[in-house]
Amino acid sequence: MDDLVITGVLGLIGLFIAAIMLLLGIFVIAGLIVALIVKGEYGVASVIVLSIFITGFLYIETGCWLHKTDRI
Amino acid sequence: MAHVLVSPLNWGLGHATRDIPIIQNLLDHHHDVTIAAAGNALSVLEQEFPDCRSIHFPDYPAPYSTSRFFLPKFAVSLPFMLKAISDERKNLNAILTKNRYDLIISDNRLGVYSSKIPSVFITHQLHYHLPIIFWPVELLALVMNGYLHGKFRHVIVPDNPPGAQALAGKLSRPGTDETKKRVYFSGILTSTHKRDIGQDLDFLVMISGPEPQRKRLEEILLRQIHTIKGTSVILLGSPKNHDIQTRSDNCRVIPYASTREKEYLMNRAKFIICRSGYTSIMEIAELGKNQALFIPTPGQTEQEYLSWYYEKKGWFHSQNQYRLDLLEDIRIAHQPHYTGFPVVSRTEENVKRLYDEVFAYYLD
Repeated sequence: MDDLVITGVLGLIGLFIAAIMLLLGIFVIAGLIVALIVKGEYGVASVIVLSIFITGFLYIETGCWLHKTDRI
Repeated sequence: MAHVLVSPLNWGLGHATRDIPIIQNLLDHHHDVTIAAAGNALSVLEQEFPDCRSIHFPDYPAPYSTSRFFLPKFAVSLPFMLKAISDERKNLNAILTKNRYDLIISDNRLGVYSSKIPSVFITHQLHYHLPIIFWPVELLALVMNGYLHGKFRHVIVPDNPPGAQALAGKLSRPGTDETKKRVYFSGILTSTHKRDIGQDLDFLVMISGPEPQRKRLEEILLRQIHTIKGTSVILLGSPKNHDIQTRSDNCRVIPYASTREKEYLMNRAKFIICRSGYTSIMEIAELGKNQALFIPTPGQTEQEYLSWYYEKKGWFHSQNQYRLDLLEDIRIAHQPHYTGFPVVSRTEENVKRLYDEVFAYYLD
């Protein structure tokens, strides 16, 4: 098979695995937060929610930095 | 005399039309040209060059979305596109075994290259623009582009080099060493010529692009066209409809115009309203028009980026089609801080230079 096609297939598999893992991660963390709230462990749940916000903020800031510095 | 295979992508007519001056230049140098394309791209080039050999060479369907959600549909279409590229590689091998070629020119067809025959790739998009949330995808796409460009001897970009005069902004900025090593900035390439005729048409509205957004823009503009004062022509870009309508003494609606008719109208126009597709951009730059209003196709990130970029540079005003207030947006577009594109070298000069600096090495 042509190397362009093989690379494309591998790239697509990687992309779809990454997308599935991302979705799974979202569901697992959401489930964890709900479980903690049900148990009344609000402190731990708050720390996780805060961590998500910080991670999201850093993620977006990284994108902005890449744009500002013309890397993407 | 050498033999060149020219193969444009059939996603709209932009790829085919920008290859017209290249093919003409090759013929002027007495080379043989074989055109390998599909659909309307093939029809246009067959009409333009009836003496050239042509081959029906299918490509991949454009992943244009019927909704505003272009990216998800594009992601889903990737496996099908990969299959089409695989078929394209097989078809190309069959074409190459039947004839001897000295050069392959692929206009945005990823699978049209050969390890045995010098191959060049034409694209104005070295870089994709995605919403900030998808920055890892944008980064990955740069790496992927570098890999794809590595298959070609040269990557010809119909734009000026990155900097103040780059009409495609970041889209034409090379992102990897693989691309940087191969990139050649040819300047704009368009089949539209500047004609020495008077500008007696106040507004030319060109509605183009994929359905259903083309139809939506048509409805929006036809509702508002009566608000503007002056003579206007609306090109609907709808080949199935043939009835020319006169909406008022000053406004004519033409369902479909040939390339030459469109060129004539563009030359006559004082003010142009159109999508911010790169083909239209090159036409406007070629004609030296400095009054225009751009309306990007919703969901097409390339057009949305170019609209934003021209606003930022103070070249042209752009407006989202759903927020369009024609009278008000034309008033804004006329403001003196919109300067139009910088003066750029014309296609005729660019195509000669491209031949001398790139093609001649393989053909003469």
